[in-house]
Amino acid sequence: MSSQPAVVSALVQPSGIRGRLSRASSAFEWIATRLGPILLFAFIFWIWFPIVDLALMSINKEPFRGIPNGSLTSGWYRSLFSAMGVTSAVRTSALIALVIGVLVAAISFTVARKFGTVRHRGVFLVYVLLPVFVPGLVFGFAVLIYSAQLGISLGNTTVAAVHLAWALPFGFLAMLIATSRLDLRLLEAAADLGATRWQVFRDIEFPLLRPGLVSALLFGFLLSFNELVRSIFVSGQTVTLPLYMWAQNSSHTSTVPLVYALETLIMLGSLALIGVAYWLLFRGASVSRLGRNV
Amino acid sequence: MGALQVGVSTAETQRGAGVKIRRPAIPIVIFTVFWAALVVTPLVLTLIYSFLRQGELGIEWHFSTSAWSGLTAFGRGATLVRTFRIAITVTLIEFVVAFPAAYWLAKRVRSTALNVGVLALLTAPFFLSEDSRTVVWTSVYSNDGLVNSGLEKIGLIHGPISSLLFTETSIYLGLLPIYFGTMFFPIWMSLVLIDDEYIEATRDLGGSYFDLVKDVLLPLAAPGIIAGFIFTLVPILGDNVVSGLLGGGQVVLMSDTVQSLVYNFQYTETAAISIVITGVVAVLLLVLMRSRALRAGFVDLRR
Repeated sequence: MSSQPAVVSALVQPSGIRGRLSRASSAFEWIATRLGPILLFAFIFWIWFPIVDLALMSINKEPFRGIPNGSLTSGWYRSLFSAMGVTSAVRTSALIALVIGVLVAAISFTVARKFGTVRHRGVFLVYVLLPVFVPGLVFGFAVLIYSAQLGISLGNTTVAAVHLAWALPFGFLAMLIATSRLDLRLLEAAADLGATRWQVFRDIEFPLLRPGLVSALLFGFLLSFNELVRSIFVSGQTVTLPLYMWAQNSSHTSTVPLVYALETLIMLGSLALIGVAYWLLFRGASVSRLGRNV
Repeated sequence: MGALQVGVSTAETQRGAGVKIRRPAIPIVIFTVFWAALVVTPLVLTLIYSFLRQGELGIEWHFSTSAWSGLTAFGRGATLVRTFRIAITVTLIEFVVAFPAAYWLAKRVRSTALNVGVLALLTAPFFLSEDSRTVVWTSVYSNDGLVNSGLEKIGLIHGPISSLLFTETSIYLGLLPIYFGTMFFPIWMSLVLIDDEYIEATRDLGGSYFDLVKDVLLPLAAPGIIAGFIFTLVPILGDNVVSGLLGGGQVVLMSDTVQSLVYNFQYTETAAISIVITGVVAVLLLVLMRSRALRAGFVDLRR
């Protein structure tokens, strides 16, 4: 029996191989259909627990134990607006984030449209994504010594520079999703029907790419607004909101509940913008198309 | 491998057939120069700085290797090793969890709504500040916090577990939920792209779970897996929020060393450490770009 090829022995002893197969399959089935989802939802819970808990703590009278209890208060929110430095930090961050959002959208749009003309697209993509491969502190330090060499004083400009480098790759990816879906035949058809290049752009290409453009803008805004690690070394006198909160959190003082309230507000706002961006990018997409396009 | 090989051969055929090579458009050229000035030059400057001499009043433009010989001084060698150990361990744990989870979602869940919903839940926190996502743990893991008092109430422990904060354990507890999405998303994406027929064929041919994972899933999902490793490992190496809030100065990581060096204007030594970190990442990246699977993945991206 042992001299027979495997296939023959399988035919002779069907129960043997089926037994082995089913045993292997059942272990596989268990991992695929039980362990996988359990791990996934456990991690989703772990990821969202601090986010939800933070919001609960921000309306709690005694937030220091992380346990929600009955005694609610809006006091942290009310004292938030009188706290020193909060409003100016919000204004600084919003302004920088707005500039970055517009820049990211504009640059991503212009470059992603012409991505098709690049010969080594893989290399170019890695080049665009380069800042993602550099740890944040390292890049912040690199820009610190760079600005010293160039004689640029630290402040809004240098903060904006590191934010742009950090946010652009993600805006670019969002634009690539939109451009890869763009049916080039539509543009050719419009041209064949006598549309000028400007008309093709204004009436066909731009409207079709607009979801990607808006998403790039939102991603740029959000990534800049919440950026901390890269800003630390190059901030100078500029105090962005994450820098402000980082200083408050690190000090382990009684202002922490204020920060909870502040972070909750920011997260709610950010989540709303993320929802809009995702809806624009992925509405009507099927799973397989989603994977292919991302 | 079929789909990937088809992708490669198409690209080769096009090149071989002498398809007219288009010149890159002007925006591409301008961007390339701009990116070189904004991203590449600072990194090159960092490399140069690591070979300069640290003077009393700042940087002196003389060649010196003192920054490199001082790399392991003052316990910094141990810090480097500790940081890489923690970063690699966290990355591996994320992979072990994310792979079966992503397989389940990509291949066993037919509902688009559930796929999109889970992805939104996992990727949205990426845009939130890491600070907001971490600071509440300092309350939850404290001695009279939610976890300890909860465990005491159900009688599992008597007296709080104090190692939940300001230890290496707390660093792990802080990092794991933050860097799950960066591992999960690329793996999910590459698994979705695998044709279901390969998986069915493996099972029809009597392949076991290990055969499926080893011969089908891992090779075909390689680009996503490598991307997941990089997107997870890189930010952990430079993470200063978790170590700052949950390490409480008790667990010194590379980010703490870099910060104290920069605040003391020790720029050459910071540059040397930066180059070590970036160098490790660069080696990973080179391996990634040379892997056939990934190049095929990029070809796939064009379509």
